[in-house]
Amino acid sequence: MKLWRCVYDFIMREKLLVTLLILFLLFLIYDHSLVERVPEYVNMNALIVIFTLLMISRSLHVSGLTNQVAVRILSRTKGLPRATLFYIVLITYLLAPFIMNDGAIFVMVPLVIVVAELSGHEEALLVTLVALSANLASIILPIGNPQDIVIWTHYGVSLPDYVLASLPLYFLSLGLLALYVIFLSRRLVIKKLPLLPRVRLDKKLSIASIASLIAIIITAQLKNPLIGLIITLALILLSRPRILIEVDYSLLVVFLLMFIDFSEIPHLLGVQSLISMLTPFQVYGVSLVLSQVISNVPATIAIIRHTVYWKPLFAGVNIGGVGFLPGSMANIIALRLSRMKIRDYHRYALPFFIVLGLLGLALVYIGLYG
Amino acid sequence: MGTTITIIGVILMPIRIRGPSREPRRIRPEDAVKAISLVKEGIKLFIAGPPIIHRGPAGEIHVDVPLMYNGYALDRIHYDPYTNTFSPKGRPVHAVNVQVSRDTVWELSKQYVKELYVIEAVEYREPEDAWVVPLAWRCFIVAHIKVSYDGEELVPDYPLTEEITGRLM
Repeated sequence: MKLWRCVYDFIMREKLLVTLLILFLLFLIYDHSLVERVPEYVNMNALIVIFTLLMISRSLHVSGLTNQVAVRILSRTKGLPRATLFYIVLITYLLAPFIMNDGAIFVMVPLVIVVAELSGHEEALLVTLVALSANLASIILPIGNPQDIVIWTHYGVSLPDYVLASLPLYFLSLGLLALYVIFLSRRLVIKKLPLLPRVRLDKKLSIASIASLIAIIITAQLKNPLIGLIITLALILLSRPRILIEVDYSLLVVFLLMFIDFSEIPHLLGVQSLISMLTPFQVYGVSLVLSQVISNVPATIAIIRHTVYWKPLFAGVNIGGVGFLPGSMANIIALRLSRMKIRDYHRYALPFFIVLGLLGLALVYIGLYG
Repeated sequence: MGTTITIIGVILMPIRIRGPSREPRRIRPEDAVKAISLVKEGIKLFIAGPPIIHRGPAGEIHVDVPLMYNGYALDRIHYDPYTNTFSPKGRPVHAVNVQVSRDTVWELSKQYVKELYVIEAVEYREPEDAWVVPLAWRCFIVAHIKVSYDGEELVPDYPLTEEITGRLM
């Protein structure tokens, strides 16, 4: 009875992992030769970078550094309502590239819940703004989110080339969000925000986290992220070993299974050659739509091995991260942390997604992502 | 020769006794007042986090509710599953033959957290270099909030924060 209870608890806790595992087993039963293709499907460098960044993101949050940055910047608004909205977007834009989109959600959503409570802002609006900002800000660096890590490591793009390519979409989305904030804040009646208490900074852990972040960027660029992982493990072990126990290892298995399952689907459907014939315009469209249905990381994995056009893929999956809730895992975490209604999230996210999606199309058309 | 010197060195080296890592801080009453004010300001922002339910080998259940601020856990509050109320600090309840619903505990705790109030006196903990401000619910002291020595910053319970973040992921 106890064993069944444990199994049931595990399934309830790890629904995504269990679904991917069942999918893997079904694929394996259907075609035994999948076992031989697994090493080819799994991008080990991307997995190592994602795992290392999960640890760094966690240690930056626990150290209090991200909270210090957020609260100090927010206090500069002097509590003015529209400035508060702008600064929330700006702080998320500042943090997300370094702590990944999911990490930014962990820092900013609890903060904006407090801000909403104190100022009278609508919580759903603030949480959605944070989710949109975290997804779009994280694109400026290739370590900002899992799909960009996969693209960066798969195509072996150099860091300067990557940053240069991401700039147009980064600034376009920032400008669009600024306009959206002006539009939304017209009809808000809100109170002035009081000063928020800060939490104490753990200097040793903050320094260890920043050093780890630099190490993983350099070593991943040199195509040897394993060294970055070892440095990070050593630094965290010296400053706060408990973080290593609390890291969500199941998420690593989730990414591993994603690589296998979503690489196998085009193989089973026999659409590899079809994907390889797609024009940049079509790669953008397919990745955008697919992200909305199966989320942007699986969409990236399904397409990446069959196309040479990394720029339209990059634009498609990153814009595809906003819009409907499944677009990105960060959206789901934001929803879980805030307990906001799905309907409320879509009310603010969908109009923004439609406009950004069309502007993205224009960027591909003029050749910036062609 | 080298080995002999090393052995003599080890024998002569005095045994190290762990003592204070720095000079004791000179504490000021005005900082204690600031610490109390900070917690009074912050208390309206504190919320109940997701309850932590431990199941013992004999089937006993122990429930703790983390007190959260801005994504950081400040302290854990013991929960009594028999009475469905907070239990005083120092009295964790190990309940047997009782059903515990996580959602019910969470909902009730959210209400109870709104009833918390600050007791206007502090203690100082040298190892943590922090003031400790007690929080009470009805007539029980249920939580201790740590504030930095200068009364400026809240000091989270880091291990508990890590545990909660892991659960939410």
